Amino acid sequence: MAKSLLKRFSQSTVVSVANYKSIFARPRQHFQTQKQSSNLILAVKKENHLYPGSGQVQGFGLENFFYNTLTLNCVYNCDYCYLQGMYPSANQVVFVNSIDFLDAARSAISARTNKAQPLYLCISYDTDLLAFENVVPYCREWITFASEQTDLLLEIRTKSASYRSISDLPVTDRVILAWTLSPEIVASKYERGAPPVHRRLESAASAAKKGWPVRLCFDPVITVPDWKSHYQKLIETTFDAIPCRSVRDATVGVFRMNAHYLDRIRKQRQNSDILYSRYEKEGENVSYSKEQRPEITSYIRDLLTRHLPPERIEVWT
Amino acid sequence: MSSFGTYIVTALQAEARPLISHFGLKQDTTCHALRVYRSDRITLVVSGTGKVKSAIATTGVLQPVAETSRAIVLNLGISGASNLKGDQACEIGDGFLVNRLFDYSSGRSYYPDMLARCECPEAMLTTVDRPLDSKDDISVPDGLVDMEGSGFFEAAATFCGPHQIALYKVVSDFLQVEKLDKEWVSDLISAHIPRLESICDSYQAIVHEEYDVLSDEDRNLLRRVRDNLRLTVSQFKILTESARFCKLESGNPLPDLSPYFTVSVSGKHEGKQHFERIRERLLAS
Ligand code: SF4
Repeated sequence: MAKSLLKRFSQSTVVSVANYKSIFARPRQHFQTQKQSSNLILAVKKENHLYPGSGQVQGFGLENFFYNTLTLNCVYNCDYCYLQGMYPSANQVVFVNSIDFLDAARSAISARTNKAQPLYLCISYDTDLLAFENVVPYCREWITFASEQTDLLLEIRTKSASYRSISDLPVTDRVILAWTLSPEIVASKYERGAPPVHRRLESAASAAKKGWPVRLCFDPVITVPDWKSHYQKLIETTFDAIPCRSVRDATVGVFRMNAHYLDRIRKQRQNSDILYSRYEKEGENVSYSKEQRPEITSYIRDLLTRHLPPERIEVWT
Repeated sequence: MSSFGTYIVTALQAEARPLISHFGLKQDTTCHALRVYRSDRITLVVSGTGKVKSAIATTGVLQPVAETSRAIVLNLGISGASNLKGDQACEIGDGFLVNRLFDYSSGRSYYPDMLARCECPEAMLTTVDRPLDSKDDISVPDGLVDMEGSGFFEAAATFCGPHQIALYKVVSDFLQVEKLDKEWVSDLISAHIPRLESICDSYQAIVHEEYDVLSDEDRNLLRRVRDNLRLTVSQFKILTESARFCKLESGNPLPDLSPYFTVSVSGKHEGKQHFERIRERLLAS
């Protein structure tokens, strides 16, 4: 992987670094400044090739829930993205020792607690791996890997329109391709760099047509003015583009963020209203108020139940 | 060259001389411990040779700066070069932006951010503790060699982010220890002033990228309100956040706060009442 990336970027200046953290974790970096011109860091991740999933992500009752970080950071730059507060740097790190990640997944499959269920592994958890596929073909590698495992279920979540970069692969029901969808007004205002929603839908529709298990993620729901009609229109457009029988399931979640990350982001940038709305703090997280959250999610859930049975809709409040 | 808050550190007077004359800098006679030259936007300090002196001088000019987030700090000087090959093969008089620093005695590396959009070759720099001759029995990584870089960087990084710090080195020798003619050193540096100006412009553009919906003017208005109402630090923080919320939510300029610049306030309690009134108004926008 490292060799092919170095060949691909042969015009770039290469700086050798003993440990990626010595550049990634420097103090006083400015995330948004770096984002204007981020560097690619090729690194080896020596440990933690798999993390247990947190309660903040929908698992559809799947108990053996894990995620991994094949890359750090994301090609997109959503205003509401917690990575801005979680990482000290906006540089894109690619871990090139994929073999260790695959080995960790293999061991976790054998060691999983609930043997009646597969290992449920999100590989595009803190990033958008499919959007980066033309640089680092990790989705391809992991889909091929999943096809060979009997007890693995992968989720690849994306806002990209890059299905074509994996469209030649044989379909497997061990991989869920999950598209995050937002009303156009939200996407154009807050999801910088990500393709417009109609292009994501075209991509999702092509995958669904070929028979891939497709998940639709209405997460984070953001209460822009007139949000109800924007989300209603989005859901109608979505199911016009993708027949409901081709949709595996859908997830719904409101905007939420770790309060500490939000504080860190606010220190560096003060130019997005989504970072300055009046949120409520509950535990370690900030989100809409206790009263608003169920109102938002049940509204979206009701819209979705017109197309999908309730057991195929997972809601995070 | 837009050079708001540009701080330049050179080791030698001969390196500083062409900059002093090009930018019309005047010696700051109030500064006794350091040799400092200034214009309204540029501060230059001549540190003397070696990383400790460079660190002291860098700290000396940055310490008094109230707001370093918009500063850029540049170490400019001559350096030796060893074994630069391929694209980086060089001649005496070539200039490089440093993309990695290596401190020979501690083994530590430092990395400035290379975000500025300026066409300039890059190289690695090793900082050594004494003049290095190619006949010496020590080997340094291929690249540039100086005696200040790591000291400068460590000190600058105490005040500024890695996107605000640059090192620009002009090759003066291939590691032959000999006394360099001062005029010649000044000429070497002089030839790089146009490129130096474009580097500074590029770094300035980066640090002046605006990530705050409040403009400098807005912040000045808020400060006037603070001073007149005698607001506490935390009240001023709340006022500033409310003003941001107001602008971001409404998409409009701030409402007229000028009456609060002059309204007479007899005590803290009255100031607080005005503060609450402004806050409500901002949050209702
Ligand atoms: S796509 Fe996801 S990971 Fe990427 S910037 Fe947006 S929120 Fe962050």
